[in-house]
Amino acid sequence: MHQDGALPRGGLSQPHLLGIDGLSLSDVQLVLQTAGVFADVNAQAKKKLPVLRGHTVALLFFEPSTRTRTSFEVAAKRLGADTISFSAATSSLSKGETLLDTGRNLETTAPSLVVARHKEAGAPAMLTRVMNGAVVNAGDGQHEHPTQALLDAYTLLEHFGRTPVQGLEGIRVAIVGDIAHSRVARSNMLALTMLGAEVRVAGPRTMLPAGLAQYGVTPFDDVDAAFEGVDAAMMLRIQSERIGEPLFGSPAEYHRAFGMTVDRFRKLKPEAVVMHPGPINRGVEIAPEVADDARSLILRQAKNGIPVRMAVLYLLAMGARGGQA
Amino acid sequence: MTQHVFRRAMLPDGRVCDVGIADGRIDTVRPCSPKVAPAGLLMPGLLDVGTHLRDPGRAHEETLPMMLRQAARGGFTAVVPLASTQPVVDGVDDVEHRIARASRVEDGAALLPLGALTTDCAGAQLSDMMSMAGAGAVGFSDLPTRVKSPRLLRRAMEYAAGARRPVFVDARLPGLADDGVVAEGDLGTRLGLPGVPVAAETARIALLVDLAALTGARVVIGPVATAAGVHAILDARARGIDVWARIDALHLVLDERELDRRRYDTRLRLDPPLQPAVHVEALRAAVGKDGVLVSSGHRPVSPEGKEVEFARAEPGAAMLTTALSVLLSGTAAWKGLAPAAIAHACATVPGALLGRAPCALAPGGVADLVWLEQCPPRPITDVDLRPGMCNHPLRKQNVTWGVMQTLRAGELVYTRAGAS
Repeated sequence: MHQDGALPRGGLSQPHLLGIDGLSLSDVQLVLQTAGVFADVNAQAKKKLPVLRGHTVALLFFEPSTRTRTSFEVAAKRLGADTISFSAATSSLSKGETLLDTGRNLETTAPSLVVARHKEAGAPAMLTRVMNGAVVNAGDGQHEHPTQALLDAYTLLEHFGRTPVQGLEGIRVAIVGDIAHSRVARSNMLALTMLGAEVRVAGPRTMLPAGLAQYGVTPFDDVDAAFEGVDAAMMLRIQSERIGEPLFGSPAEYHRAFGMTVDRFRKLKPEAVVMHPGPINRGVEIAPEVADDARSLILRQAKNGIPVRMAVLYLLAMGARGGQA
Repeated sequence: MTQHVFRRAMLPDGRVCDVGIADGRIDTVRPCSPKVAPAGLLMPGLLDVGTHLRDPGRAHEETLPMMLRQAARGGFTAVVPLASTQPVVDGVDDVEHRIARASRVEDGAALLPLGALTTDCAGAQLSDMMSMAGAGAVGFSDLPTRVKSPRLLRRAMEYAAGARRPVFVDARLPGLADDGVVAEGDLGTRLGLPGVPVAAETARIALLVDLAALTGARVVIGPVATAAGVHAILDARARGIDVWARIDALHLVLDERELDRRRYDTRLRLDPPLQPAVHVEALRAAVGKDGVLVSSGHRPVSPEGKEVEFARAEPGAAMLTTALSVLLSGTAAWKGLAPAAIAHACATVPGALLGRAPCALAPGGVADLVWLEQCPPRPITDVDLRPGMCNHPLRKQNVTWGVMQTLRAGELVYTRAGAS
């Protein structure tokens, strides 16, 4: 993953990062390469590279988030940008203001970059209609979470000693859990297949959505079959608000039937790794012993979030190549 | 009394004639020589069934007089608005009041009221259908509220059949995909939006068809948006069951590719949602058949209802002024429909449904007419829409037909500026 240290001059093909959908392979490679440069900066004692000095990054979190928000905030600060924070708890949304009116108001602070997380799909895309800055989707409903997929791809490349150009050819990844309701799964299916990985998705049939074929992934309703021969198992969080919906039996049954138990972990290839976007439900989708094992990349993923988000902010601030709308 | 002649008028069947109007009726229909190029298209005035009315209750979005004038502007000579205003039309006084208010609007379409199926559209107690029918209600509906209880549906159908009136019900099974805002499938999954499976429509229609057969009621199902749905209704009709399919105009000229191009554009938040092209194909093939009626799908929504997240946006589009020109003109993806098919689905079939013969375009016919002219492609702009109503899904897209004049019983109720 180590790069020659020079930051690229060009940006992405898109003016915004609304999803992996819409990015080209070269866009993805560019983000991952640039992230490599920033990772080197992060490894130094003085972790600043103030290339975005004078820029303002608005962090609009319409949905609670700890790690993604912190990760973006640290990324922006290490690049020397000013940040404005906005969260739903302190907004006027509860007073009935429309999303676009909120966007119009925030636009008066003229941020050059807007990071938006929202519980409804498409909210960041809608903000692009009223805001002039580049919009980064930090997770929108069940749609996409592109920076999570980019940091997951970065983590896999790093672990398997590949460059972004070499990609993930020959690497077999199983994504397990609530694929239907997961923005992480959607972004990862797109990013990992784009980089050449063989992607399997697994979960109870209630959690496998229509239209999986378009992603070029193989669905499994038997998690043991899905784990056969995989190099990486990506376990998705079972969201507490889904418990009670008719999607699965009890959390204990979910763990037995679809979780990464110690027993399943032992049956994986000896060099296989386990991932999780966090926050983890110990004992539901993943056994505590597995989460804390040396072959768990969970903390590595969190750490890599910072250079990947620095890369995204930096590249979007550079402006879009080709000026596509 | 108005005397008027439409010269070189193309009729929906393709003939070119001079059509004379006298004393509110068609007086003469004289064929022109075969070489004569038509000056415009003369169609029977359209009848819009299931129009969403906002007055009383949400009159800031559209008042009753505005709605009737918009209808005339779009070529509709009569509208059958839903009863679901606030308060709802669920008693004799409400029906009479609505008729009285509408009758004072002389430059608009006529109004034929629907009554609520249940008191307050609450889905609990049957409304006074017998009395409302006597006061002039032409049918009964709780739309857009879905009647959940099959038992109540059955009793409502029986009661309405006794009142000799049709019932209008939705085509989506309650409780299966209530949060759905897109068609379930590839696009819905990619956009991360909750989908509605085709089964939600077919399961509902299967139930409604069986209840229609059981009760002998006349049941208008819609808006219908899927191929299997419309086929099921046509099959049931072939078996002699008195069911009708109602299709919204936009579902004949837009498919979900438009939503893929304009992702999360809430002007495309419609109920039912836009479908894959294969369904649009099947719906278009059904237009022109008996028992299939096309309505404008008019459901105006204020900006506050649309400037929010897609799944939270209110469904609907302001369609009365443009439905006919859009159906004739088509869109980038779909060609316009034939005038004969439109006249059948928007005038003849709804007329037959309500027991009212539309203008036959023959001497003696009541002169409820719309005159359209072809124009160079021009975009739908705010001029076509009421100021403040930004929720037209095809705003800025081109149409090639424009309504020039609308006549009700021979009287002009709309003339486009510049029309002769």
